[in-house]
Amino acid sequence: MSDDAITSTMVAELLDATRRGDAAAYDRLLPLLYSELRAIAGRHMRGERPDHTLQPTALVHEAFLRLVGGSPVHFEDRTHFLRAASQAMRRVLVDYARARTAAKRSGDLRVTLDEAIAGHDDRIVDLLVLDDAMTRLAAAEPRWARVVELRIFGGLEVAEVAEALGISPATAKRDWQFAKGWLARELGADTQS
Amino acid sequence: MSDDSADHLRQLRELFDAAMDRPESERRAFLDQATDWNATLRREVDALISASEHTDVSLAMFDFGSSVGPATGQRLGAYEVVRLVGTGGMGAVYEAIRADDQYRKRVAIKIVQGGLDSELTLGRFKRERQILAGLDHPNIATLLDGGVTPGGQPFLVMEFVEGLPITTWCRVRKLGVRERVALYRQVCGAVQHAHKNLVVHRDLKPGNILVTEDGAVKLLDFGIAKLLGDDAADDAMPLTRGGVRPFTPEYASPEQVHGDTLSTASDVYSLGVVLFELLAGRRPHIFASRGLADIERAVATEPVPRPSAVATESAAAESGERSAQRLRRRLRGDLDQIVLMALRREPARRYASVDALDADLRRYLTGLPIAAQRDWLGYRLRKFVRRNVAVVAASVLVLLALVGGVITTSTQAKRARAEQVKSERVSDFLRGLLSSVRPAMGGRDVPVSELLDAAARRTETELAGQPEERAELETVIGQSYQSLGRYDDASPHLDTALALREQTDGATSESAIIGLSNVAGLALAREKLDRADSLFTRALVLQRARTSKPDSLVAVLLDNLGSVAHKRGQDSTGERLHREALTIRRRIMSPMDDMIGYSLNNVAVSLGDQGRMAEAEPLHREAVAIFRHNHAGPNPSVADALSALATALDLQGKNAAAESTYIETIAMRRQLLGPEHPDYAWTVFNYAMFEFDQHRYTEAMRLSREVLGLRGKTLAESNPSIAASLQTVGRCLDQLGDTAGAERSLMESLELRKTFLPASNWLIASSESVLGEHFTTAGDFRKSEPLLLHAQSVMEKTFGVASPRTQGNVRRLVSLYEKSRQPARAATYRAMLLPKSV
Repeated sequence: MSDDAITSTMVAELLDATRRGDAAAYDRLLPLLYSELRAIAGRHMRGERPDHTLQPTALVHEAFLRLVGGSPVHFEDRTHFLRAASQAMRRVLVDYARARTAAKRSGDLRVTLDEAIAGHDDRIVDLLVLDDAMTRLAAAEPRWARVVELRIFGGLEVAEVAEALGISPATAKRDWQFAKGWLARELGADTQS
Repeated sequence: MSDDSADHLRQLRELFDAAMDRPESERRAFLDQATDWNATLRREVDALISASEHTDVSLAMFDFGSSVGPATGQRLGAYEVVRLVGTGGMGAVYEAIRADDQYRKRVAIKIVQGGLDSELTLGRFKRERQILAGLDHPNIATLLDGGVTPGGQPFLVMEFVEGLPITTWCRVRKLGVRERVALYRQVCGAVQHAHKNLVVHRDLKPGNILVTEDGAVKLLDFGIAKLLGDDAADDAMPLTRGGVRPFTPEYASPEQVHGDTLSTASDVYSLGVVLFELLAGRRPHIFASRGLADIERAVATEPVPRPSAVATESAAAESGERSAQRLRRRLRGDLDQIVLMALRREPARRYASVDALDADLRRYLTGLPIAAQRDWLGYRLRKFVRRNVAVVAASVLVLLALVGGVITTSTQAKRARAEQVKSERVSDFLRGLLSSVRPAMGGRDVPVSELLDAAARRTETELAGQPEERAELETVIGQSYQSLGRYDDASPHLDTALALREQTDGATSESAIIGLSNVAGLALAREKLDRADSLFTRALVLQRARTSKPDSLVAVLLDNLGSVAHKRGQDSTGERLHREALTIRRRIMSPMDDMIGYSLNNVAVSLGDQGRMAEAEPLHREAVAIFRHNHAGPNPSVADALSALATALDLQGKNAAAESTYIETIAMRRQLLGPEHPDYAWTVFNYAMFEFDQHRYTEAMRLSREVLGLRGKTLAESNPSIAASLQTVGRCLDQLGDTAGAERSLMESLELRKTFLPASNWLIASSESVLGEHFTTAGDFRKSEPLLLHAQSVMEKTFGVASPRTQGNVRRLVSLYEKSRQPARAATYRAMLLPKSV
């Protein structure tokens, strides 16, 4: 059995376990997703793929295919997977942002074509701000942050979000409206660093 | 994470849900109730609802981009890539070493992603690169080289700069406000250098303004945005990426956000944002999102706050101030004005150059009065005057008295702080007033006089407990009425301001003396010369009792007394007073100060009125030089000074120089003021007189008729240039043989002057003199004689026999009596002629 095959069997089992309500399985699933997403995202950012922009949906689907590709997966497992993958995706991107910000700071070096043209640095800060804002959102109501995670980092539509979280589409929609309104303001107000 | 914040979020959510469950029409009323009229909370919910409907949050906002570039060790031309320094949406930056160089010089290489695909583009890329390479300035990172990679991507080789963004540097070093301003002036110097070489930066922001370890500023990427962004973008580069144009929205000027043409003024704006951030710790605009629509809306509609109004607590700590309060106090006034002037929405109303911005910062650092003026009422007033024109002072001298008064208030260094706090409150009041009137007027421009009426009604009640602020505002209202020619309305306000100042500060205080001077200024405007004289004299005595040192208020009062003397025709007294004022200013101001220029002009005009044009000319020239030094390009002060110089040259018979100066003045005023402005008309009028003297009657008449074309539009019947132009037209017609037409024009001119001027005014006499000459020529001696005789008595009384004006009339009398064959009378008057003016 190849390494890939071992992983995909493990992932399928873990997903199965999460469906049965095994919280520990979820915790073990995350690191697997994280490392896989990281590898995929890294390739995207190095430009090794023809589509240069980072599409959350594409990444997550790619991870899904890679991780559970060969194994039979229950339909419910897919939503569990998406939840976990979205969360992992958030961590991957935030870690990238942190690493890059730290690199800038330690070097004291700024030669900045990138900034000149695209304001790239500001974006990275934004992502960290978004992460921070989502943490605060979760403190008030964890579900709100999950909705945002699935929409933004998982690339899911509102209906899919509702399905993944087992809530009504109306609730998902309202949660999203509220959260994005709040986030938009937080991001706008905090862009000065 | 505090529970407070979580609780607050949950509360917001409840209100949000309840509001969203209701139809839009009911939400307002519901939220008023539900938020219990808590305005802050209410605003928050409103913003939340609006943001939830109009914005989106997605990963696309956090565009990671990607880059494809050379690997470490790869050669690019003569350079060897060492490492990747950073990447972005449009390219990547590498550290590299010049491989064939024995010094192994470190450079930065920037590679543009995407590539340039046409020969044309490559050609331009090369040309522009050469221009940038010529930008040699110690504070600008040098562009060393450039080329195209084997893969077709253009790259630039730059001086490698190690440093921190200016904002970070100031924060890390905890620079105080003055040190920040001093450092920032290095930036101005570099940008100005580039502008002189016709290079606009287009993307000034802290990330491009680095400060090295030893405190030297280095600007990066000069002109790069143009090189990479502008037209080249049509061919090769995506203009938008994730909905963002290739500039940094936080520092972009309104014209840049709108995609309009960019100029040096755009750099002035971006510099203004950087200064704002250096001083206040945040930027002027906060965008709801980085979407183009939100940015455009904010930049186009949101007012720019004063830095002092929004300075943050952390900015205070980082600039060594004990509290935000203290920092705000330090920024209030000059620095606020300087930043706001750089950030004006319309490019033409910003500083005309980076030099001008820099000059104001220098003045701030040395404690001199700055050139940036408060924007609120003044601009509306100017606009109003430009379009409607009720009254515009014909004489530069009267304007000077006003300007002098304004400057004085702001130069008194000690009182400056208190003054500023006060005027802030006053201008807040006015701003409130302006915005309260606007909606009711349905968007049309509110006439200034209506605003003033509204302000006049509200001051007494709304500022009852604040006598100092009220005095300030009463002054503004009074002086504004005065500039509109509504003297009766002006009077009570200036009187009240004086009384309030006497109460709060004492009758011999400087503020009361300024109040007194303002009342006197109104009397001067109303031609109540005796009253103006005694009030100004009283103010002068009081101020001299306060200080024996050279004092700017004393100078202003002397100037005003000089104006009184001038109006009385006492030109030599006027000259003496203006000279005294000039002497004072030369001792207390820098030699190139604008006020010195105004002062020189005053002396020169009073010399000119005595016919001493040769002495006046160098003073006019010095004034022109000062204004040109301080203001690049077309400028009102330069135009005023040129206009006066043209007259001086004209009257000396230096025709060639006069003509070219007239033409320059006319062109400049037309550009600055438009073809309907009274000051423009005045220059045209003078030029018409010049043409008349050159015997070019048709041209003189054409010019005079241009002035008369504004009659009833921007020039009121009472405007002196109407009567004067009618007179010129009349004299031209006489020369061209149209006696009847000439008579109509000259009669009309005389009637106008009789209607609008006091009976003893010499201008009436001047009209009579010219009309008398006309009748002499026409052989109608009976009509001629009484006119010339009356003119003679007024002129003798006003100017004395020796004055050129009186002498002119004497010659006309001689001519009359010669032609009417009354030799005895002719001889009497011939005896009065002075040799030199024969």
